[in-house]
Amino acid sequence: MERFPEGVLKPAFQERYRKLMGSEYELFLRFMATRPIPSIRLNPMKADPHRLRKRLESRGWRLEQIPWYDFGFWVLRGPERLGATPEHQLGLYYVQEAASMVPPVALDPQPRERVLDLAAAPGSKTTQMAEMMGWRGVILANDSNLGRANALSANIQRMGCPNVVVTVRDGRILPKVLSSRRFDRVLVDAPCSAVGEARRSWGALKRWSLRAVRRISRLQKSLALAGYRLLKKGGLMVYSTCTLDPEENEFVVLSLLREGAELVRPEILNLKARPGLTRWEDRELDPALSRALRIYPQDNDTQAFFVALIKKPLDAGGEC
Amino acid sequence: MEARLGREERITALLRERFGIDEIPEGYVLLSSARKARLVSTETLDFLDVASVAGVYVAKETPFGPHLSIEGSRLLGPLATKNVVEVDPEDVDAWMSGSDIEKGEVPGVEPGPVIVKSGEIYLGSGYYDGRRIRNMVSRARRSEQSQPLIDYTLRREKEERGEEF
Repeated sequence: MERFPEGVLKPAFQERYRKLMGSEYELFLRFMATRPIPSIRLNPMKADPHRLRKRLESRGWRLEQIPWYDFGFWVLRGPERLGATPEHQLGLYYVQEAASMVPPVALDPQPRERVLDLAAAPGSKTTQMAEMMGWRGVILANDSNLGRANALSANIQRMGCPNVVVTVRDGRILPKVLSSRRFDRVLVDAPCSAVGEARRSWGALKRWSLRAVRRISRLQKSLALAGYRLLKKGGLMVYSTCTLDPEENEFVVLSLLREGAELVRPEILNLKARPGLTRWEDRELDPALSRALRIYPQDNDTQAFFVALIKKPLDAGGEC
Repeated sequence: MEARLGREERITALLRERFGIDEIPEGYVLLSSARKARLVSTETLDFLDVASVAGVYVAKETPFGPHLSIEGSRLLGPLATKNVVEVDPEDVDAWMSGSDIEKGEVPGVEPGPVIVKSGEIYLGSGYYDGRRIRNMVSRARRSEQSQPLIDYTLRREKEERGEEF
């Protein structure tokens, strides 16, 4: 506890996360109190990753492979400002937290598909997916905030992705804006209480309140439903957040299961993750939720993340 | 739409004339506004009606000829047959920090806009005056020339012990 400045860990937060983490609560706090090793994602569309890795290592960098994404590396030794190097400015790599590479891997977008990234800024996952698609097909990358959308556009430019279009709309009204257009895959990496990011700064913990969690959970449900509506029948959607609160995760996915969605367990090699919760505060939840992934900081020494892979059945009916 | 096609033909002609780029890569389309061109995948065309931004900015027309962005040089540079200058790996940092590169006379390269590359890495375009390549990397894309390296594992260990790094 003494690792945290006074006032950072609110009593309500401590009570809730103690309940969530059980016997691992102290271990969880220990990881939350340290910054993670920074990580980068090499851009295979701009330079051969093997040669690029050699190039960086010849400059004195020390890199370690992130086991769940071929082009992801932890920077054990490297420059202080990873975003100010020539290689960064050339779009040869993106500074991206290791766990944040998981949602695109779970979604596995393919070349020539139509993909929607509903809450895309600043664009780490958008540009990762654009590269996974070999710069073919199309990603519609949306963000509701103009300033954040500008940062998104700048990152798309720097990483060189010609297969991305940017829209600046409230994600909740996208089904209306896009009319009958549907997508093969959808990523809803929803705005959240961002407890997972607290490893980098205390801001998210200072802002945390149960009231804010409940407010954002309502927004998350609306965004998830909008994303699901825009999914083709038989299509796949990832719902993810960088937080661990059940109200922002399992309860949002539950609202999709009620619409007829199916949950699929993502195949992510070499990633330690816990199953989604099927019980919370004396309430039994849908057993299918165990197919979602909870990634705790202490599991892989990353940010916290929640990832659920959702399938829209071929016989889905109604508005969805 | 006719006016737009006219602009696209104009930038295509400039790229052909200066760099010998005869065609756009298959599966992509060039879209032009007044003096700037963007490259988009053909599938993005279905969403242009709702897009604020589409694809990447690749080229613009300047009084000196066509200028390619870093991404334009990566996407279109491999199709260029002339006015491409290879620079030494050790010149990359200086170029990306905004410096000109002394090249002297480069056989086969005419004064004017040139595509700059170092091995497989495309560095955008510059203006070759017969002696040096003048830097045209935008300020937003420039980098710091050198930075001290940090041992992040050591930082981690110190933080775990509650020490300052």
